[in-house]
Amino acid sequence: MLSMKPAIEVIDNADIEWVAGLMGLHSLDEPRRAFLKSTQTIDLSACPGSGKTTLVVAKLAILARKWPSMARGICVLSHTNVAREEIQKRLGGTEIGRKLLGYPHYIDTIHSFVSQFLARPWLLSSDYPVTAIDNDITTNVRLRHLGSQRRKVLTALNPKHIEFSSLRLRSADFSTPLESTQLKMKPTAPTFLAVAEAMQKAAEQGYYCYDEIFTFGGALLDEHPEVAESLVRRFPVVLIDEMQDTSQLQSEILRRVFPRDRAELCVQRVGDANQAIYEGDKSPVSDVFPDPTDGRSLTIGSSFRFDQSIASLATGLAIIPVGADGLQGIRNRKPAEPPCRHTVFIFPDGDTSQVLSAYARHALSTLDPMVLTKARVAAVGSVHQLRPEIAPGHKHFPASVSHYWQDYKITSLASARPTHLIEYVHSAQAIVIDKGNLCDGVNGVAEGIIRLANTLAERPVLRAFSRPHRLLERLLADNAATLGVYRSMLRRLLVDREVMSLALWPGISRDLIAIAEVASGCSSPGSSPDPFLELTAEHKSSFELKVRAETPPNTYRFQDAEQTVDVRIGSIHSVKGQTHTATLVLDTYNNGHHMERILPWLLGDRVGDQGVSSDLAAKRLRLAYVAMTRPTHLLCLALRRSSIGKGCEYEANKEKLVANGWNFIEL
Amino acid sequence: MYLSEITINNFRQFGSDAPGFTLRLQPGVTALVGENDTGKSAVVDAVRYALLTRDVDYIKVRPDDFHIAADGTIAREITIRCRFSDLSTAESGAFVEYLTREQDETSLYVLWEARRLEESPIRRRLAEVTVRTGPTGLGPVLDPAARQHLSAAYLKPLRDAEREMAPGPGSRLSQVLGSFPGITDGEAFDAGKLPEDAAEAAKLSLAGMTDYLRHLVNQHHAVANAQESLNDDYLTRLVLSGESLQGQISFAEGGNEKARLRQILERLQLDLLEGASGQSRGRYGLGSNNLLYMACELLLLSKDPEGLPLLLIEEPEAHLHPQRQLRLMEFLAQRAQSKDPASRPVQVLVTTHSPNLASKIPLKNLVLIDKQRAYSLAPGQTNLSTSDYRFLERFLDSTKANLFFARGVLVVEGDAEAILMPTIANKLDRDLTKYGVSIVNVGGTGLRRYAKILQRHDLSGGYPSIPVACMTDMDVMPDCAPQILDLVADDTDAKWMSPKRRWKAVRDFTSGKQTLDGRKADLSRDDGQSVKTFVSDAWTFEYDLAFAGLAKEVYVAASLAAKDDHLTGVTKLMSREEVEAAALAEFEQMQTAAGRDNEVLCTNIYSLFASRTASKAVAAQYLAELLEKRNAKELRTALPAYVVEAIEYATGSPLPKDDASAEGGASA
Repeated sequence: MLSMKPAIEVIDNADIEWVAGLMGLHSLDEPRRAFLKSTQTIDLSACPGSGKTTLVVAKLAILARKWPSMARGICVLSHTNVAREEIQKRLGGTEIGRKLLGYPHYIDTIHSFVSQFLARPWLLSSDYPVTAIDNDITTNVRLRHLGSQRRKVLTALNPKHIEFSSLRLRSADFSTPLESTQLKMKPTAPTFLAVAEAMQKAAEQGYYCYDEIFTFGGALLDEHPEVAESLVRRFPVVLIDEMQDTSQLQSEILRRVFPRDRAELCVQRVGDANQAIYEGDKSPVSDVFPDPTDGRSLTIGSSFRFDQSIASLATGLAIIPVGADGLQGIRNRKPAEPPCRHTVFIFPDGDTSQVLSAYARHALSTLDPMVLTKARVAAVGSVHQLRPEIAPGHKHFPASVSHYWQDYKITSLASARPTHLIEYVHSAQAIVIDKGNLCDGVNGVAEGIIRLANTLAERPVLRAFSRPHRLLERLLADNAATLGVYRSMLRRLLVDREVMSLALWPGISRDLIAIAEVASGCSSPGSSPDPFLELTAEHKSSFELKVRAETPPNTYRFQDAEQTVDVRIGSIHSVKGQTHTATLVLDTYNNGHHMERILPWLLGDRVGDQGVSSDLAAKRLRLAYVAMTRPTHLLCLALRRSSIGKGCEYEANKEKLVANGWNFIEL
Repeated sequence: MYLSEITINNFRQFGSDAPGFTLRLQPGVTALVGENDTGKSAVVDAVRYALLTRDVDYIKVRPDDFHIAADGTIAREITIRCRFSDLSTAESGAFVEYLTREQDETSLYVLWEARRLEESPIRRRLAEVTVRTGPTGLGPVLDPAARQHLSAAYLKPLRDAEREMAPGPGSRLSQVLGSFPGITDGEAFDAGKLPEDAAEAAKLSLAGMTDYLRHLVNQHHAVANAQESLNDDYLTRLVLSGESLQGQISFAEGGNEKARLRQILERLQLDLLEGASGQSRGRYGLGSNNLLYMACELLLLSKDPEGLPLLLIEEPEAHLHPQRQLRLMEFLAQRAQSKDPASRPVQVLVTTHSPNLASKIPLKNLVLIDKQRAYSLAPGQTNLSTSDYRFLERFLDSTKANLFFARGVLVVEGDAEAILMPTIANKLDRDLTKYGVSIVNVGGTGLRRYAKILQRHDLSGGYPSIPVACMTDMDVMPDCAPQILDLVADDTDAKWMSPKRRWKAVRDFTSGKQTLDGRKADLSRDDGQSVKTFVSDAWTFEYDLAFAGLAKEVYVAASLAAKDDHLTGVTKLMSREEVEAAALAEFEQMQTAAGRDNEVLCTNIYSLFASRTASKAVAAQYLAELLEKRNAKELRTALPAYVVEAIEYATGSPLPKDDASAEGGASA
């Protein structure tokens, strides 16, 4: 009854015109059309600023419009929910958008996919509960199961440089959770046995770490190979976004579920290998992205983000050549807009004090005043850890972006799961402000309370639940007083959005504990305050920041007589996917100074993978490529004076840089 | 994929006592049978609640859906669980995130739960409903769009087929046609390029045709004139200066092409025409409309490539005469086994009160609902052997199928019992109809096979509480009988020793290994659960009746039967009174001749039947009339014990022990 043909056979120009009208897309050139039209398994390499996500959404809209089935769907996988959010943003109000976001389609992270379609079914079919999939909670539960052996175990692991929190189940058979290599000791050693037992007990109670779902997913595929067949049937079209960031574990399981050599299956992987900057990013050799086979990949090498001046400066750093013509910048400069002077700042080896101000001053002078009003000016480096032990004069100086600005603070990544109750409150408030709807915020607060309830009970009394707010409402239904407290709490936090402060928090947390106690049916032990409830120095300082509400954190504010410019400072990792008006790439140190090591490419002496002999060398190029492809208008570099050489070598290199299009400013 | 199991807790009649209500289903047709109020409709409703139905009926949990226990407490939570088995790759693809993998099979569990909310005047909702997956509901919540694939087609009891098939918004016919292959075929209408002739107009799609019609209507001169007049003569004179209002008369328009197509389809109606003439015959009866309606549902079901092909029919016999019922069941059974890839096999769940239907459905597809339990009659579930199934499928007719709807069953050997037992029971104040007892007359063969239908192979699920009383003959004649019946010359006749001898006498059981008690036990060897055999004390029903105290009546009845042709024939050669008087005189002579030997007397009476001078069935009819006239108390003392016991058992309780029966027992 259902054919084995690809779900969508033909996408034609009419479809492309339709989607261009729907989404307001212009200048769809031949490579972009080729991607939209392709209905075969193919890889797409899309350069920075190529409008990749928009293109993916457009393709999904076309597919959804023509989609013939109510029981088979399109599967869109990524690492973040960007694709989902983009669909909501671009197609949210349309019928197509609503269709795409619901059954039978699936648009989510690879992690959620493996969890929902493989790991959880395996756990449920094996009669294991799912209490929490969380590294911190699970580590705590494992530590608790160590009991009196806890200190002994940690002492034994310490000299081996093994973090207890880094241990993962390596087997779906919980009675043998560890491989002997993980602890670098014999499987009969008492420590090994104690750790194994603690991990087994935690697993049997339903506590798992994030990565472990891949183990369970693998187990399901081992025990029930027919599941992969069902998934192929369910999802005849699979789109994987940000393919370059796929880890080996993820890539392996995707390959098992959606093999790219099946004729009836269309697997389209989209990404940019030149931007792969995450750890463990070495794809297994069996499934290289992009597919090197002829005709199995497409390239989009033209960027809407910047003009050709930036494209020419960055193209040489792409390890994999960007198409035949290299990186193209096709941003249209406004007629009156003057070209920007992309600048290399040369600073004395031991003195970074003038770098940010010189950059800000240059930005003010070279950027169009109209652009400046909404400008996003950034300074980024590959290392951002505070390295206080390295002072000016040290041969590694400057090793980190913090060495360019002493007030630099490491902020937790927004995507990380909260570790403290206060963070649930903060992120719920942030979501409400950001998205304007309360639903996610309410569930965020409720999730925090449920986690608190489980913490108080010291065991999983409440199951992980897809709608935590509904669960709480239900648990509190018979206790009108507490239900009232809960609801007024939601109102205070999310509707009135009271700003958390040191004065306010004790009262708020007392109410949250009271709610959690009723929900769990356990009272708080009281004696030893749980770390989950604590406020760290960082939280306290974030209160102050909110109170002062001046410049956002890690922002350098430069003011001259007439104008002000804020320079945001951060790591290259943190700006991945962002677009800036101006970007300054700071020199930092990781087994060598970054800019010094990539100088041959900046000079144009080397191109692509020429002379790249190590993973680190490749990574340095990719980091530089990511950083240098952020700006729309202005690209700058900060180099130590000595990195360019001495005497005539210095002069020769300077000439080469100028010849390549760089402006040269010595500080 | 088919619905293989339904588990119900705390829903209406079904409580939560272990082992709870579980119904296992086979692919194909399953018929729920059983007397009223056992919960047949509740099972169908449970499936509707859990899976929803394809019509647009809104399902709302009602207060009386929550089970009320014997002690009056109202259950707080209803759970209905459906399991689906045998999923194809496409089906397991559609539900892949919801599946449960057990040892050797993969199933889809849908767990529907309704939690009763505290009653409160401000609360409109009575219950909070969740639909989860996994055997214990630990799986993910079932997405409403995924759940739609499971919705069943449902034909309610006492349906108004005519209304269901009528045109109107959301009509069934529009739903059927809307998903029919090719319904959107044809060209779109282009106002800039009007069809030149009828042939070109015919190429338009359905939506295009209405677009064309709208185009023409809007151009009609009367419409245009009316619009002009409305605007010029009235509207412009009513508005204030500077305002501008314009009215436009136009053909009502659906939004997109889909909506326009739906509008057309909703205007269509389905009428029955007489096949030969092709003429509409006006209104057809309810029965014909019902057939049409069911045909329509089946068509819709088999054309849907992705949904669950499950059809729920309550009382398909409604409005259909017996032959049509049988045709319908045959057709459903055939669709259930469809091998045609274009129309998928449909699973059908019916409830029925029709013995006629029940007799047509293979035993293995029947499920008896009794006391909130489901008893499948599939092989392996009952005590029936393969040959029993073959036998019963041949001989289980609609009168015998009564046993599925009874509160008690009397299984009897032949017509005489079938005719006399209701009269006797009536005399004992145990009216069989009132007590809901069905008589199954097996006609001499296979009595035990019928008894075993209601016996369970595995007792862990309980067994039906319906008492089944089997009445059977001992078939051991008194020692005097062979000689009286001319079977032997005397006690030393060689025929006594013949291996070919089929009859048995008492002396066979006094000398050898066999005993009378042993024989009795052997005849009752399949007793158990609710089945009990009542063996006549000596020989046959008639002999035992005579022997116990009705010798005179039996003789008179036999004599009347022997002369039946004369009594009822056209010529009426004799009057009934003459025959009765003669019989009474003969009886007195026989009594004297037999002396005090009741065995000899009764054997002589029975010889009328043995020699086939009198028909047992006809005699039973006369005897019934004679017994009607007897005093009830006296009659009871004159009846064989096994007859009374069988009635007591089938009607569920012993007769009240009054003085008369005590005396009767003593004198017997």
